[in-house]
Amino acid sequence: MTQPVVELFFSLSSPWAHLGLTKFRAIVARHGARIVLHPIVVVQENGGIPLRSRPQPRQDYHETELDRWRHYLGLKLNLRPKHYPTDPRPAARMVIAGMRAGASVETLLDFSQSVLAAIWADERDILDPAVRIELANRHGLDGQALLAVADSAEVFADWKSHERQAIAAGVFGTPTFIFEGERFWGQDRLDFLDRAIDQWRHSSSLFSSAGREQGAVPAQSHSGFELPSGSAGRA
Amino acid sequence: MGVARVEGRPVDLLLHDYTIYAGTQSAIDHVRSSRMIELACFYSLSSPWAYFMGPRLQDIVRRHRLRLVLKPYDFQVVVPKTGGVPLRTRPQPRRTYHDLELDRWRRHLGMPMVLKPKHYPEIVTDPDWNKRPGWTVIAAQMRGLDAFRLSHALLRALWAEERDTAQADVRRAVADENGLPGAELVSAETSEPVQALYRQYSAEAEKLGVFGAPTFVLEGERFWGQDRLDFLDRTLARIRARDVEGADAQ
Repeated sequence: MTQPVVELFFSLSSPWAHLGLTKFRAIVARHGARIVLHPIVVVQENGGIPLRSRPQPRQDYHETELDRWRHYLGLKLNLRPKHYPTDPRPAARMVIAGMRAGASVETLLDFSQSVLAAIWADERDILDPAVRIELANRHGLDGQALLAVADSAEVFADWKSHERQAIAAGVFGTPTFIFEGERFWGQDRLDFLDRAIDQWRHSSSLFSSAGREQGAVPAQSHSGFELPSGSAGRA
Repeated sequence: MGVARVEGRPVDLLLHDYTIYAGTQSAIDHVRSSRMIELACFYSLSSPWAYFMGPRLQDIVRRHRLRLVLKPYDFQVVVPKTGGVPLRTRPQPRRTYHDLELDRWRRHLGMPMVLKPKHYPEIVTDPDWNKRPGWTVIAAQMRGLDAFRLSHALLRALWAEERDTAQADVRRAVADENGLPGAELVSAETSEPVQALYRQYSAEAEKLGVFGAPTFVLEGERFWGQDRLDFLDRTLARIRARDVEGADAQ
């Protein structure tokens, strides 16, 4: 079976990425899917509205929602962190530098989650390069080297490329997950993403077993396929 | 135990052993059980999300024995002040995402829905087109009739049955089909008491910072969207547990 691919468009300062990435990674792991990383910021060209430029009733509601979700998910999050708003781009460029250096998606997600936790749970200032280096080193990356490459023309070009891809894909907020061309905006749509991958795998399996009967599909294309554990685990 | 209506007002029914009828048990039960929690629902009668909320909201209202107050409000006037962005004024990627979400939810909930209903105007010529059915609902609620049933039937008419609820005869027919006095309700739409409530609900919505539909308000807390009904449900369970503890402590 073809491996499912999920694209992750996210900002390195989004509280929703902080709250949602652990669950996202668990879903992806369960489906044996591959993640493609796209560090971005809110896409204003597509109608995204940065938090601090929203009218007060929406900012207040945003805080209500953060409080609601942190309790529901049991995750540590300060509603008004000391070092927020912040600029997520220096950390995002380190992620891109890591991608260029061949670091694994898993490691770069670990680093990203540490950056998000630094802002939202640990009251740390990610604009301090020493903090970013420390967080990178924690996950076996060479923080100093990533920092050095982060300001290179190549990394800036990649950053622009991710931004263009986000605009083309109709992304406006973060995190946005894209699977088979379908957008899932927000960590509160992860269950829909999970079901969509389930359905896709189920229809792939129907297709490959039909092909097997006709002898039209090479054996290896459907080897190793198992029933999705997710569909068995949910009532 | 249960709920009923006396002269249109919702009341609790309690059953007691007659030997303790006048005793302390009655007083404790009164505190414990008869306080109906009020839930306000701010919305418009053109919101597809309000249509989607129907069956689950009904379930929540019954299980928690709520006093549901439907508050249709002037969405077009209020939300630009509170930070809402009416659908037609959103950039294209947000509009296509809205369509995608409608499709996603109708399949998930198993509710029939036409994604582009005939009578949801792209260009609005009658500014009151979606206010009128809101007024019908308010008229029913004022009379102590089953306004929630009427509300859902009107939303279903627009979003699943291709009926034009901006038309008085359609609203009358929908009410009649649901056992409500259609002609009476439609003629009450423009009456001053109904209009006064509509203005009041719109003012409340603005004051509470309501920027979308449906928005549920429970003890001052906003829950925006039918996708927050689970949070509303859990919060209600906590409130009821708190009230029982309070009664037991007396």
